[in-house]
Amino acid sequence: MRAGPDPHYGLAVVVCPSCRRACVRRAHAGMGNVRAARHLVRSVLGLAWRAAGVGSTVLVAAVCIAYVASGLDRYQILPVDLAAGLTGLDRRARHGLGVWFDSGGAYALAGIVIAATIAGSALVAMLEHWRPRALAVAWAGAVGLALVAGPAIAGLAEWAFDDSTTLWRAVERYSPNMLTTVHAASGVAGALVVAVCATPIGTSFRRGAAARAARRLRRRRARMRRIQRASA
Amino acid sequence: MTTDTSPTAEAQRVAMLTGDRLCAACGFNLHGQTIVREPHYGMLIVRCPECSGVASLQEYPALGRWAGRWAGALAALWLLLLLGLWAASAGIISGTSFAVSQAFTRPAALKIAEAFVAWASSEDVQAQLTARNSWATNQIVSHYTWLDDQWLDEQNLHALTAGSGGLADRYDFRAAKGWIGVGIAAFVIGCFWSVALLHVRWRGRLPAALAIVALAGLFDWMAFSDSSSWGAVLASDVAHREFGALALGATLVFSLLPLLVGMALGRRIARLTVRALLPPRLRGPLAFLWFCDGLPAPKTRHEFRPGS
Repeated sequence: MRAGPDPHYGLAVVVCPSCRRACVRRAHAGMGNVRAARHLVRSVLGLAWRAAGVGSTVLVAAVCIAYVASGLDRYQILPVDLAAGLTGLDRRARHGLGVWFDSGGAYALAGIVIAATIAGSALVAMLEHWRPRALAVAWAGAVGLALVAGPAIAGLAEWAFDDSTTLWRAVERYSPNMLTTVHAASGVAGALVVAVCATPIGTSFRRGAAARAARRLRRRRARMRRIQRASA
Repeated sequence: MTTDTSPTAEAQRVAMLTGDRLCAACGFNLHGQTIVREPHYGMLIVRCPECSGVASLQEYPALGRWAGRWAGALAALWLLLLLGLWAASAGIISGTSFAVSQAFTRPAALKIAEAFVAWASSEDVQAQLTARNSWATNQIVSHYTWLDDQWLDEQNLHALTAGSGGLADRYDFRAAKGWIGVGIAAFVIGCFWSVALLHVRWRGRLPAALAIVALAGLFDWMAFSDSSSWGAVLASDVAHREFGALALGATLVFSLLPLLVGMALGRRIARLTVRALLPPRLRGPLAFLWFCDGLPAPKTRHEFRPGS
């Protein structure tokens, strides 16, 4: 028997024509377990997929920022010179960046921009329960944390596994100098700006997904109304 | 909704819902709600106190013998998996604690190696060395110096390693740095088991942690057995076997602490991760992480806020 939504509860009630006993049409509990397992797998995979997305973008951005900061420190390029060189305001500063660009600095800068753009667009679309700007700030915070945690872990590992290294020497060796710190902080701030600028892309993805879900729901409701009319 | 379906005195109370069941409309956990026989169809239902939605209850006929068999096979598989992971967890803690305790006994190993190299380099001994133990010459003093087991049988290792420094003659206390690694490994293992053993409450976690550490101790004890296979043995192994029990015991006892901390915080970390990374519509299947601690189910609907 086809069960349409009943007028009292809106449930798919089937009434036995012989004994008048009513029951709600539902899949067997055994099938329910299969469905529950499928939903669980979907949730776990969703969790893993999102964790991989967040982790990889944070890691790529942190590595690129660390590379840029250490490279600029090595070539003694000040943040002001970098800004002037990149914007083309100062021709001499731009020429000074050439060597650093050739040593892979350009790729690292591109890596920061790509990771921040992905964070602002794809992560905002995937993590739909976060406010876009809050997510961008949290992502930049995670990048900053990774930049601090990386040298800290490296120093701790060297102290733990190398008997000749004292804790103080490990701290000294892995502590960044002032210029590197300024470059790294500027890098995180720049990545945050790029991520915030990319959030409209993620928001539009979100709106598209919500519109598709609403269309699916409307189609389903229309189908249920047709069934109800047919059963009446 | 008509008047005859509202929760009135006509609805006969039958029982109380003891399991966890989420409302299909709003996701509210219906645990503890009254099961009533509704007056219109005579069906068993539970009403959601939040949205007044109706959830139907129904008994299912048995599917046959195979459903039970599959359930038993899956339960056995899960049990086997947990036993394997128990052994793996114990193996990780055993390996790290063994390495750390071996590092503790390096001074004793150096003293033993020094004594052996001094003995092997004397001229009268070199003349007596046979083809079997000719490798004993030309060795340098290190933790990994090979010792002749016949020479070792004649030595009093306690007298050989004794000095005026007390415990510092045999133990290198800087090796306690290795406890950081043991702690991190034990914390991660504790987090895993707090989620894997969802039915275990506070009181059950201590025996679980003890079981892991006890198995790790058993593995270490098995590794303590004689490793001499061709008439030679490493100085680090000898020192560890002779003096390492104290350091090993201390390391294993220490590993209990981060293991218990991980077991205490594991579910909270898992819930935090789910909240941070999963949108509400995907959280429902992972609601068991909340139910196991008697917490209300997580939100399964997204609340649209202005500007979101």
